[in-house]
Amino acid sequence: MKGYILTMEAFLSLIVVTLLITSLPMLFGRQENDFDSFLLLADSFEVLERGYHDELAIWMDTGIVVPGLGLSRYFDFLEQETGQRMFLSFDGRKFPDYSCTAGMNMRRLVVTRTGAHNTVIFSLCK
Amino acid sequence: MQNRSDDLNRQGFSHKGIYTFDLLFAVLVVLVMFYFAVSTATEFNRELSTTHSEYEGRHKAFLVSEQIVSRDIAVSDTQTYQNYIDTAKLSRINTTKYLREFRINAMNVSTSFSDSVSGGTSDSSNIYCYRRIILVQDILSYPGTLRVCIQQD
Repeated sequence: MKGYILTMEAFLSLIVVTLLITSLPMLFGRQENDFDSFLLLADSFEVLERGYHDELAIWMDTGIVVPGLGLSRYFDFLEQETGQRMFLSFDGRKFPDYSCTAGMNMRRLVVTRTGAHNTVIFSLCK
Repeated sequence: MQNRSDDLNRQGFSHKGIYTFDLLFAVLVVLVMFYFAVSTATEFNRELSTTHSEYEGRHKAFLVSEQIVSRDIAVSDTQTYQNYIDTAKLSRINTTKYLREFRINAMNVSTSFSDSVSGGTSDSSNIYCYRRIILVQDILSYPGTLRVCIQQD
């Protein structure tokens, strides 16, 4: 009986070790995807801030974005090129107003027209 | 019980024989577990070496793309503007430098707005790529993509 109990323990240990080993590649894979998403978000915001800073600042101050112009077209470009939707969140507002929940997101400081430093959240749609 | 044992002894059987099946079963279990352990270890080792190689490749691809986007072809005056690309600098990407420094067989830089730049010879295996979002400097700046691929052993 004693030997039988030990065998069960060994068997359970083996199962745990096997599960651990087989789950390692999945853990690595997830990290890669996280890094790819992070890089995509970082690059996209870098371009957004460099190329569309004025429109971004106006949107943060007033909530107004002229449809079909720079900022809107940039988000369309991102969706077409990457196949992923991204959006900005600030002061309870979203742009573009996609009906999706945020996956990975990053907080970035933006200097608005009034000279204030505000934090905008840039997110990937799930 | 003692009488049964005596009967068995008289008939030429010994107690040792009774344990043969237990021993055989135990040996079989040990062999199966050993085989399972060895195959799991081999699989894990293979997975680990593949993962390591893939990580190395992806890491190199990222580093190369980062240097290109933030240094080689970035717009610069008194400072360098990351992700802001001067198209005139595209043809000046020194692929030989990357092939030597990163010990890669081949590399390719393609954009959504211009011709691609290539170096080395590729055998279409172990290729790792990164796509970067960039702002292209022209009469009017516009967004674009830059795809950097490397091929290593």
